[in-house]
Amino acid sequence: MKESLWKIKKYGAFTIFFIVLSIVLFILLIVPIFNIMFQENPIVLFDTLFTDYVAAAIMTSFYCSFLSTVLAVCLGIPLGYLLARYNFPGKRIVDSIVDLPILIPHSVAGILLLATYGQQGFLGQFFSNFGVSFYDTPWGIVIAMFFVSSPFLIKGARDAFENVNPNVEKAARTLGASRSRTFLTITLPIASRGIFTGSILCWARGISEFGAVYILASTPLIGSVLVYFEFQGSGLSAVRPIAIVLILVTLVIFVCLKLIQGKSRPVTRVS
Amino acid sequence: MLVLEHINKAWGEFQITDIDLEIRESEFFIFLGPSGAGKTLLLEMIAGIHYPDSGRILYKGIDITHLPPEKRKVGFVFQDYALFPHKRVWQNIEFGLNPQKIPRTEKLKLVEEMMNQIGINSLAKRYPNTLSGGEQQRVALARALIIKPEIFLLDEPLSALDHNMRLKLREELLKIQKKLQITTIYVTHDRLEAITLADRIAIINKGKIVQIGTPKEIFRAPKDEFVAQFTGYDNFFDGIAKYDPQTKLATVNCGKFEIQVANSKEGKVKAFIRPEDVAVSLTPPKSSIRNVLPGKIIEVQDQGPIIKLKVELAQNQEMYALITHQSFLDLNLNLNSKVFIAIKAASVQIL
Repeated sequence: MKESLWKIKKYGAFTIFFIVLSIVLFILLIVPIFNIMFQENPIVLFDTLFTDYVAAAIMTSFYCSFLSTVLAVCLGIPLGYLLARYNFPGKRIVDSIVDLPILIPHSVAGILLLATYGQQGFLGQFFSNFGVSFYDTPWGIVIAMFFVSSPFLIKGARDAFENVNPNVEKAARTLGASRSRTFLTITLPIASRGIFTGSILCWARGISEFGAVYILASTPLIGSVLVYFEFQGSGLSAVRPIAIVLILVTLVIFVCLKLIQGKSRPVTRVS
Repeated sequence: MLVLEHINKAWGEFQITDIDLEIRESEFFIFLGPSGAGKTLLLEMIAGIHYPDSGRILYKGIDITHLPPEKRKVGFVFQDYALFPHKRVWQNIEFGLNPQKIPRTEKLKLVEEMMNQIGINSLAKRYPNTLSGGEQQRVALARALIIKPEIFLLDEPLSALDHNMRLKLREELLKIQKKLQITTIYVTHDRLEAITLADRIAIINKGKIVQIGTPKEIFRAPKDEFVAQFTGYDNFFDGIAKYDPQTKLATVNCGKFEIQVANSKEGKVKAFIRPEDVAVSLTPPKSSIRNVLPGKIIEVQDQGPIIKLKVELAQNQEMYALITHQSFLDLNLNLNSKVFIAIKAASVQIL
């Protein structure tokens, strides 16, 4: 049971000290966000949201990130399951490689992707045979977002699968379900909540990406790249409404997703 | 009916070695052993969840060694119940019928009947995480039994329950098993469970079968030191035995005292005595009892209805005795009380 923090008198110096530090942290995070919010007129924000090129950039951000999340779900669920259920030689290496996109600077990630998927890159040349190009196309945005955000999904799926009691899978097998039936009707539904959380993080990380996308596919414009170009061209005051709109829209969608997730029935591990 | 032939299986650092076993039709068979003995792994091999490295498993003469679990028709009940947390109780029970081609109305009827039989109708629409341990285990039983399994496998199904629920479910389980006449293999580390449930017991230690027999054989004639200690022979002494053909008794010299035993062994032996076979009194009992030894109570463990006494016979020679709480009070016993212990010659096991 967590104790209610409102009855503050009950707590000693230790808890109060931790509360104070937490408030400091919170201020550091929240002040920049609120600060910029109060510098703009709501009407200007409203107009900005419905300016064609701003709305288009936001849509591109969301849509490309959604596609990259779908790709990550399709490929990340099997890997997450393998990592959760099996021991194999080189498992730690695979684990580290999954973490790598989080560790390297995103500008560097962009360089790597450009060298591979760009017009001179070997995958870029390979796909150009099928008429698919990544340089300055939506596909490039999707690939760049996928590269930097898929670790969130893979780790989310792995943790979710690790929390599924292996005995539940064994029980399903003895009750006549094949491996794939067990996975689809037992394992995946139980893990779905954790995987959904991973997908939200993956999607949000995709939207927030700038460096890798900017280098591989700076057009079509996505939100973060648009903000950068506007800042370069017209300065802080011109870019501010766009930045705020980007924050607000992302925040609203993120909160909505969290609410959907909270409403789905909690599935706790029976142990 | 179910035959295990020379089963070997390495599992990490652990090894199951040369398991050879036949389980008979309708038998209640128990794997009894300490935790980490390999009982669960063995049970899971019978279920097909793991395959042995070598050896064969035959069911009614057919080799099923590498048959996947979904083709074996085994009902498996887990210690942690392993209910599907995202399904309601009735859906949990229905799950085993889904791969079978049964019309939906028929399926629901079967589920209903099963819930009636186990007494869990009122739980039908609940989710597992809202149920008590006993309720969850009942659902797990129903879920396993609905597929009409050929073999019923239970892995410490009662050990996560509280004492009263354990006794209650143990009785129900036995009733169900006898009624359905279903071949059952049950894993436990609890020797009381084994005595009350089993037709036959296999004692398992370190991945090997140490002894197979009826409860009586196992608990009254342990084959080795491990079985003796594991089945509750808390008192054991090294000694030298000498057989007297006239009395047909052997005398075991344990150093500081001697005990007479109904056995013809000679030479170096180990003598084992169950604490419940040791009687305690204030004066030497006037009976034909062979072994009466004086001692002093040096420890009193209150175990509720019974009391376990540690009686010192001589320096570093101690004997455990169980007496009822009532006789403990009647005899007015206490720490350091001088007492006599009495043991029948037939109660001493010699190995």
